[in-house]
Amino acid sequence: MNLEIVFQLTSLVLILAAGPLVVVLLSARGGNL
Amino acid sequence: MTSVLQIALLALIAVSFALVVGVPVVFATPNGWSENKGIVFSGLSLWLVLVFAVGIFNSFVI
Repeated sequence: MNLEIVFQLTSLVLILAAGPLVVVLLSARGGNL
Repeated sequence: MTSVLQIALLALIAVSFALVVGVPVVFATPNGWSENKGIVFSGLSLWLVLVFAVGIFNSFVI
């Protein structure tokens, strides 16, 4: 598999996971959701 | 010089991701801002330094 595609997919996963990760962390810490 | 740029760029991406996730969590956690203010400011300072470092190193590579 081409290395550039791996980088692009990794970046996409990081960006897409950031939003739900904030919600999960706030939910675990009892934050103001 | 290229490897230094790559390491600085990787660090910038990692710090950016940590700030994108961490800053909203700190803001919305009860007493989060007063307890983690120093960490947030340190992360922001590191991010600012990395931005200029990547720019300077990039001008040596290209």
